[in-house]
Amino acid sequence: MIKVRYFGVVIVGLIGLILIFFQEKHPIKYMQVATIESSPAGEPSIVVTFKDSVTNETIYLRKTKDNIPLHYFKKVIGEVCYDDECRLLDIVVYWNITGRYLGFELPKGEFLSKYDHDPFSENEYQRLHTLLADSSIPLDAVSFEKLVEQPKNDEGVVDAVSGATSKSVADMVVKGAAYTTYKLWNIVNGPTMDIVSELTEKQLTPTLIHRILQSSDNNDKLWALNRIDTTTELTLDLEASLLEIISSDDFYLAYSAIHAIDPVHLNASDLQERLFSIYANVNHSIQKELLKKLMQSPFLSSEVVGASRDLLIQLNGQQLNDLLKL
Amino acid sequence: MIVGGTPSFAKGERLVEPYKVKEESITTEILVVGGGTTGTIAAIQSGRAGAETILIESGSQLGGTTTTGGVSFPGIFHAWGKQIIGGIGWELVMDCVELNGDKLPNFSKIPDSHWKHQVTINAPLYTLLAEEKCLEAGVKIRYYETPTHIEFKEGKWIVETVGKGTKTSIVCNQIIDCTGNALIASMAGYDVLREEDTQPGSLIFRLGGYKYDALDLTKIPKKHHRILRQNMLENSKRESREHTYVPYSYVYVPGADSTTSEGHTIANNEGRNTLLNLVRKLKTFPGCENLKLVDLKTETAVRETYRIDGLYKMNKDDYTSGKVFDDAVSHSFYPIDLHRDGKSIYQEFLKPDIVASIPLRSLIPKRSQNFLVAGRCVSSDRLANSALRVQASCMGMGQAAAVAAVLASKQGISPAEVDINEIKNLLKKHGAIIPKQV
Repeated sequence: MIKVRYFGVVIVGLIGLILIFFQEKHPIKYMQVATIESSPAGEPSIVVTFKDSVTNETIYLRKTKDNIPLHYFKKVIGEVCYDDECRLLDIVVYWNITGRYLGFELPKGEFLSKYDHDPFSENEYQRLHTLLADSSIPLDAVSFEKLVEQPKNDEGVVDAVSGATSKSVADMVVKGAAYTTYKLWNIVNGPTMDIVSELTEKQLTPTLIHRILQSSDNNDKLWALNRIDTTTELTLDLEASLLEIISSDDFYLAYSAIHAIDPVHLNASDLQERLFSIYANVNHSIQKELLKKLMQSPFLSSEVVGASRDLLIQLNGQQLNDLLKL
Repeated sequence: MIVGGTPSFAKGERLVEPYKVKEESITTEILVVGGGTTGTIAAIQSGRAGAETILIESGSQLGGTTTTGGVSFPGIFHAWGKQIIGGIGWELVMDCVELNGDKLPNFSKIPDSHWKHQVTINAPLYTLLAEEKCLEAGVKIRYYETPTHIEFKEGKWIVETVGKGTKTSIVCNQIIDCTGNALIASMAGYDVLREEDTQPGSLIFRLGGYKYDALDLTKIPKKHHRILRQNMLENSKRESREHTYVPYSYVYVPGADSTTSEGHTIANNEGRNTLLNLVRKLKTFPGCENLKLVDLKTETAVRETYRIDGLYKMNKDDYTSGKVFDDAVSHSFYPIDLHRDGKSIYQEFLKPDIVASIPLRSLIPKRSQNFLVAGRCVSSDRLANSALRVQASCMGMGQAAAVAAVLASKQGISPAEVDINEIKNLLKKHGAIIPKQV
C-alpha cells in the first residue's frame, strides 16, 4: 500500500516536472474573443491601485497606438487559504473594456493544481476558462462554506470535495479544485468587473462606442448601447452601426438600439428618414418600436410623412392607428 | 306585526320589478369561449380582422392563468437569440412592460435556465390592457357567462349560455374553444381525451415576514426549504446584468380541474386548505414566527385537463425535433415539462436552434365543422402537451385560430378548408411569426 502511494507521488512529480518544462516555453494562457481585436502598443498604464482581501491589486490598461483602450488586467499573487490549506495563486486576469471577462494567463513556469497538487489538465483549464466566463453562475450568492457541505474526510481539504461535492456545486466548479474555481470566479466577476467598466465609461467617445458595437459579442454591444445618451453625438459611423443592429434579426439588440436613440437625436431629419427607411424590412415587433421612437421626435420630417403614405396600403388596422399617431 | 300596504318612498326611491332572467338571442360571426391567456388574444385578433366577435368568460376579468391564476410571467417568446412568437400576445406583453416601466430580459443571451426569458408583467395592468384592446377591436365581452348547450344547425352554431341574470342564445358562424378544458368541444360531441393521472394545479401565493438567509435551515424540515427559498428569490445583486423576476410560491393541487363550477370549487378549496395548513406549520419554525401571507391569487391555476382528438395529434418527437409542418401557424418553445405526481418535474430541453411548430390541424377536432380550439387542449400527446401548454405558445395558437376562423367565416366554409397560405399571410399582416421550412 505504501509502495503504491510512493509510486503515485513519483508519477505526479514527474508530470509536474514535464509540465513545468513545457510551460517554461509556453505560458498557459486562455483568452476569449476580445471586444476590440487589435494589437496593443506601448507599455500598459496603471489605472487603479487598491487593496482588497486577497492582495494588493493594481489594474493595468493596454491601448492601441491610436489610444483606443483594449483591455485591462490585474496580477493576482498571494496565498489563498481555506480551512488550514494554503496554496499559491499567481495568475494574471484579463477583462475586456466592457468589464466582460477576457481570459487568464499564468506566468512562465506556473501552473494551477488541484488537491494533492495534481496539475490541471488541458480540459480542466478549458473548463475553468468557461466557468469564469459565465457570470450567471451563482458563485457570488453564497459563501464557500455554505456552497459546499464540508465533506467528512480525513484530510479536511476542501478542494478534495470532488467525490462529495453536491451535483449543483459540481456543475459550477472544476472537479478537485472547487475552492480555486470559487476564488477565481469571484475575482473575475467581482468588483473589478464594474470598476473597469466605469473606467471605460469615462473614456467613451462616439468612435469608441462605434468600435465596441462592432464586437462579435452581444453583451459588448448591449454595454455600448446602454451608454448612448443625449450627450452622445451620433456620428455617421455610429448611426450606421445603430441602423445595422436595428435591421438585424436579434430582437433584443434591435430593441436596445432603438431605445439608445434619444429624442434629441431625432432633431436630425436625416436620422428620422433613415430610421423610417428600414421600417418595411424589420420584424413586426420592431416596426412597432420604430414608430414609438419616431413619435418622440420633436417634429416629423416631411420626407417621413411622404414615405409613410406609400406604406398605408400594406398596414393592418393597428399599425395604421400607430402610424397616424405620428 | 307585519305591516302591509303600499310602501312609502323617500325622495329618489322607486319600486323595482321583481328579478327576472333576461332571455335573448344574439348573432355574431365568431364566438370565442373563454377569455383566458388564449381566448383574449383570439378575440382581439378576430375583431381586428374585421369579424363581429363575442367573447364569453365565466370569470370577471381577462387573462386567465396569466392574471387570475397568478402566473404573471408569460413566456417564452424568444429562442436562440430570435423572436419566435410575436403578434398580439407580444404586443400586449410589451405594452404592459412599458406602461409599468419594467425591463425586458436579455433575450440575446442564451439563458442557463429557460424561465429567465419569461417576461415578468404587472398582472392587474395586463388585465386592463387586455380588456381595452378587446373593446378597441370591437369585441363584445360577456363576463360571468358559460355555455350550457350547443347545436349545429343550417351552417350555424347555436350556443346557449347562462350568466348572472342572463340566458342567451348566441348564433354564430365559427366557434373557437379557448376554455383550456375543451369544454365546448366536448359539449359539441367531439372526442376529448384525458390522462388517468393529470398534472397538479398550482395555487400561487407570496409570503413575507422572514429572511431566508437568516434562517437556520438545520432546524426546519427539508421539505419546507423550497417554499421558503423560492419565495425569497430576488437576484437584485445582478439586476444590472441579468433579468430579475418576481419570486413566487405555490402549493400543488392534485387533480385540479376547472371545467365545472363544482370541480373548480374543489380545486380552490383544496389549494386554500393546503396553504392555510402550510402557513400555520411554517410559523412554528425558528425565524418564521412573523411569517405572513402577503398575496394569494384568486383561484387555482390548472395545468392539464382535457385535450381534443384533432386532425393531427402532435407528439413529443414532433416537438423536440422542431418539425416544421406545412400547415404550421405558430411556434412553441419550452422544455418538455411534466409535473409528476406533484413530487418531481420531468424536463427535457430542446437542443440548440430547435424550435417547435404547431400545425393548424392540431387545432381542429376530427369530424368538426366551423370549429377550432386553441390553448392547452390542443391535440397532442401528454409530453408534447406539457410544453405546448405554456402562455406564449397559447397566445400564438389563439391568434392563429382566430385568423383561420375569420377567413372561414368570410368564405362560408370550415377552417380546415381555408387555403393555408391565406391564413399565413393574414397572420403575418397582424404581426404573427410563421414557422419557416428550412
